[in-house]
Amino acid sequence: MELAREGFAVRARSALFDPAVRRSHRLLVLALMALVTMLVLVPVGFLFFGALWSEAPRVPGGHLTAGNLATIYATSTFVVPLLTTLAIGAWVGALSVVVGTLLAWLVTRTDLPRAGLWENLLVIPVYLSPLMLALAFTAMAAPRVGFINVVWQQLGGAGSLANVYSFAGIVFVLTVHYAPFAFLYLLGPMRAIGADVEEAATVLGSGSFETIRRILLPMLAPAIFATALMIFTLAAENFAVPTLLGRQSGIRTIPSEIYFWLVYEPVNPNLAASAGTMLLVVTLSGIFVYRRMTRVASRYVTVGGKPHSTRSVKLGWFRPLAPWTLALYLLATIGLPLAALLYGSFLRYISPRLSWSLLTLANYRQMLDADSLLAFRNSLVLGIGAATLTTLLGLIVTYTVHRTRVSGRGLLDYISAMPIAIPGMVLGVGMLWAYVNLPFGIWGTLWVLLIAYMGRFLVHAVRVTGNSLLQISAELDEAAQVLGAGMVRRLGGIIFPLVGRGMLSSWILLFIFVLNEVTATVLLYSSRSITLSVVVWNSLDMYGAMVAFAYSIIQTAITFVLVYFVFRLGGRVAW
Amino acid sequence: MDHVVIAGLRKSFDGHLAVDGIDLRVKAGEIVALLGPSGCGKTTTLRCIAGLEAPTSGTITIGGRTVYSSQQGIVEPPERRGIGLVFQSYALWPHLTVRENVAYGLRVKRLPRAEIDARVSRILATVGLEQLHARYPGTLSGGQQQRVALARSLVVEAAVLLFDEPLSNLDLKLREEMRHELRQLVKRLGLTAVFVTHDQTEAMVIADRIALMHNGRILQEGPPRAVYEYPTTRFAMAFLGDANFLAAVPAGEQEGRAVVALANGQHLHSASPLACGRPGQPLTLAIRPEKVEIAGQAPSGENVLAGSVTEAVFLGNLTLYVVDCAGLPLRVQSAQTDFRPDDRVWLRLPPEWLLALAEE
Repeated sequence: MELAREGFAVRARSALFDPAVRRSHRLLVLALMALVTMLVLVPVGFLFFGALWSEAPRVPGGHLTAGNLATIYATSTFVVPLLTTLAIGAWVGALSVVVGTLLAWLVTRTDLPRAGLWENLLVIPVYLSPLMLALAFTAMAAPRVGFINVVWQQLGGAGSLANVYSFAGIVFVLTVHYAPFAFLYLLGPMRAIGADVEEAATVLGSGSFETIRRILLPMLAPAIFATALMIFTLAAENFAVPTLLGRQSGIRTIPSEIYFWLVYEPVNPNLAASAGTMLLVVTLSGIFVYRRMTRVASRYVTVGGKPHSTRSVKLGWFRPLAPWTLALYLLATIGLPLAALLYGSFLRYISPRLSWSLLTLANYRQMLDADSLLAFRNSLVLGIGAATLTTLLGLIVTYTVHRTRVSGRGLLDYISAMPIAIPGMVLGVGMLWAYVNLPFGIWGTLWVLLIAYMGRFLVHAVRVTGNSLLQISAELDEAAQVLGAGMVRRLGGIIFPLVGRGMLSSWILLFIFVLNEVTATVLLYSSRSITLSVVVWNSLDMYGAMVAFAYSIIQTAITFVLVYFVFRLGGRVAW
Repeated sequence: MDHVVIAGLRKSFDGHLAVDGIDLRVKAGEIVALLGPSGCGKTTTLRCIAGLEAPTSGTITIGGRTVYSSQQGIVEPPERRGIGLVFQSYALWPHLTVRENVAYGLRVKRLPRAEIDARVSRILATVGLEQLHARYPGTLSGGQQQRVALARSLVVEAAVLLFDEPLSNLDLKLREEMRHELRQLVKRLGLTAVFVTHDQTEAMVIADRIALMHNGRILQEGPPRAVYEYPTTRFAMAFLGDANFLAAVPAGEQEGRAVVALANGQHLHSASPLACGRPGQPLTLAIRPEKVEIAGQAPSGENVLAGSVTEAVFLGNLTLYVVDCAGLPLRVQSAQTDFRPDDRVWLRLPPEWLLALAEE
């Protein structure tokens, strides 16, 4: 009797348990989907709401209207910012792939000495924030007072040799930042083409240059074009560089217009949201074509079995000169600007004279005031919090997508990758519309920034942890499953320890991104939730360039320390 | 008692049927080998039994408990099927020591510490690894890793063990040793096992019964000797060993045995009932080289063919001859070593070993 009842209980439990287990997996996917949707799609939804609403948030009344969208799309007022944005994107995209292709070719296909070292060095500007680069080039090439122009005048030159406050200046600074991205993108496709391609051409009597032009470039064309498109969208949505450098010469872009409509009186959040939809259209179309291109690109690439045998091109007389050329490139793009930034951060005031008596630590002392310390603390808290939460979420998403068979995981993957096409400015405006009216007093707190960062950077966490998860055989997970371990236990005991390196490198990368995030932050911070990057941004107006340089140096120093650890871990930014 | 029962199992990947209707019964204490070339669906079948792959339809019962049924909507997850699985890659966790690897399954079951220690030590002794218990898998040889993987599956005392080509990463010598060891261990512990392999020798050494798979189906099933000696299809004949294939047509019956005519006009007797065939319909006959008798003088009896040696290859224990019988080349394996090329010889094809095969 006792036995029979027990038997019955066991059978009943196993019948119940099974659907329950599947239900819990489905619940997990639903929870993840809800979370990712909240982080990514809700702000976009509210962006459209803001664009279609007649009043600013918190203003009572209001109705749906197409007026704001009409102002943006159907009148001539917004033509110039749109064209400027597109032109910046196009120039930066084109120049970046030219530089990136050349660098990737040198590193992957020629007998360049110490190619591995150069590969790491050339990537460094990726990790430096565009705002920091803009400030560095301001120190370097601001009209009259920039380092270059001072030297030029000392040498007896008239006027300014270089002016970074110009369209060309904006394009140059953005190219410095994005050319390494192009380089990173093109390393893979370049390596995938076997050395036999060049060997075959050489045997047939074709010269190096001829081989590149006739064979290599056509084979790489889809990859190069896709890379140019990707960088086009990134540069077009960039906020800090065109806004900072374009202000004085009246260069207007979509992101800068959105910023001014939201921050300077009279504010107009509805027009800002409407302009945001236009920026979204630009980036979405860029990413759409990019996706199509990469699909074509993967069809083009001939994958050789011996990846180490691609470096077959002899540089000849140029070989001893090549490292010097690369060093010069790095010196001009980051070495000298950083030096100018450092020098500027110790200056009392900008002067056409170069003199020891001008040096001071006063700019750094500014950092010790209460506001700056708060910003420092906030950045640290946000960096740690967002990096930790986003890395964990990224791993769980990537695990669900790659290692379970729950239905809906494809959609989850898709949604979590969407922020790539959502500009920071759009996310910021959408978040503003979504959270400013929430009753819990969440607006103006660090929570809003945390949510914004998680949404903006989740895709990087998913990619980086995904790369390291895919290197681990699924059988390691299945072995634990067969032995009776549930999902939580497997994540904790098997997966986390094995992808530890990947998680750590994702964590540091996210910390760097959060530390340097300025685009969404300037729209969402309050005096309580001010961050280091906002202080850098504002200090230009509040305390002048010298203090901004000092803050920027601090931020850069922190970034460099973290980048060092990323390299030590063998990690790398992944898209 | 049937321990594992599979009925009507189907699994399709994107419309392609990897497993196309498998029925299999494994008795308690029996070792069954799923044998077949790569892509035949044997590993997919195993993963369906383990629960790592969700079948498209069918039922799977383990120890009387239905763990999968498409009709009743039952899908037990792997962790509650009570099985052990040894992977081809071993799937040892590199961040855990040998002892921790082996103890994992017991820890999951929340057994008392003392019992875990005792059982782990016992199983490590059984597989001969007690000296290496504190090492990490990365520092072990392939054979040792294999034993750790085995110990990890054995220690939880699952009644059913599944093996996914566990020996294919070992070198030949070690593989041959491990075959015997593995069989003895499984038999000694009285376990039921399903063993996936593409190596027919391995299947014959390890298994009590072989299920030969091809294109997602079980082509033939039975004890190793029966499957080897009486294959029913051309594929089975060729996959399990060396074979001579002869095209023929039925030519009547004599004393209850089929008579067939070869292309060169020669008539042969076959004990195989299939050989009667339909008149005029072409047949495939087959005979294994070691079943053909070779002699220097014409022997008496039926199915004797005269020919001349075209090739003689000394293989050590045997010699392989290729003999041309009036335009029909036949391969012969024999212990006799003294025939040379161009020697005139007589071959006898015993009717009981001359098999007629079903066309696929």
